[in-house]
Amino acid sequence: MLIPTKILVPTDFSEYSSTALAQAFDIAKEYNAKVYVLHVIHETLRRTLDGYILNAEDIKKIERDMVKNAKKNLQDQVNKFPLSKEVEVFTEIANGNPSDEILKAQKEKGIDLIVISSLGRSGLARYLIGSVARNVLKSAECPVLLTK
Amino acid sequence: MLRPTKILVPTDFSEYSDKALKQGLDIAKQYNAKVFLLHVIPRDIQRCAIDYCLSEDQVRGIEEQMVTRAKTDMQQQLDKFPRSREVEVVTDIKRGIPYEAILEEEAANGIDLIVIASLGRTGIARLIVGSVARNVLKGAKCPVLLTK
Repeated sequence: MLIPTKILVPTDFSEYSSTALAQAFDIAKEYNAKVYVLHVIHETLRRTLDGYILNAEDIKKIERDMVKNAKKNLQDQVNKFPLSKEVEVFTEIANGNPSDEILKAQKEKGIDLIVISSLGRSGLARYLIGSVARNVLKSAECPVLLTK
Repeated sequence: MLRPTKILVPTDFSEYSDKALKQGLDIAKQYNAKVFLLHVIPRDIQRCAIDYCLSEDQVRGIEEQMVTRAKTDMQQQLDKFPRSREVEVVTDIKRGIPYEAILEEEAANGIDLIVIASLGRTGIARLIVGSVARNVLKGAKCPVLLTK
């Protein structure tokens, strides 16, 4: 990291990710860095669709709606933070395995700091959030700030 | 964290902890924060091997040497970084279980950011470094920056 120039914040729209977002915007303002906010639509959603819906057209439509919803949710979440207007922000939606997509984005964009919310608060949340944060921590090639 | 004021950097004097210290010092300079540099001497010294045991005096002697040695190592590590003279640095040497002592230091000093070297580079290092970092990540109440 040393001086962050490109900060990646993965979000699942939870309150925990809002904490990460707040932190990322603050750091970006301090260092005049860019913020990339990424939401990954989990690939198993797509596989579930394949199992229940036979029509390829219908699947495509549902996927488009999911992306549209995700984009709206992402913009809504970013807009909660006044600082988001004072720094350069890029929003992105990806499809696939969350940790893989986050790590891919880190490499492709030359991210030098990832800000992600931490391992869980409750038992189940520990398992669900933990697996993404854990994989990112293990494999990221840049420093990772884990917020609580 | 948002704006860190007290940054805790645990060190085992390895090259990885050098990176964490450098990062901690840079952040401290940017935010005018204090750095707490902590080394934890593991509590349990193996006193006995097969049928030979060290006396109480010998153990005490060894423990004192370890503390003296740690103080020297800590100063040597700090001296590698000219920035350590530009920010306020508080050094501390504790004995105990590393991750526990780190979390105690966090609580005792109102730490708002921990900077720690990451999970492993090689197989074995992953196990040894990982266990301390992992427990700190899980147990810390403040954000943790994992350096790579």
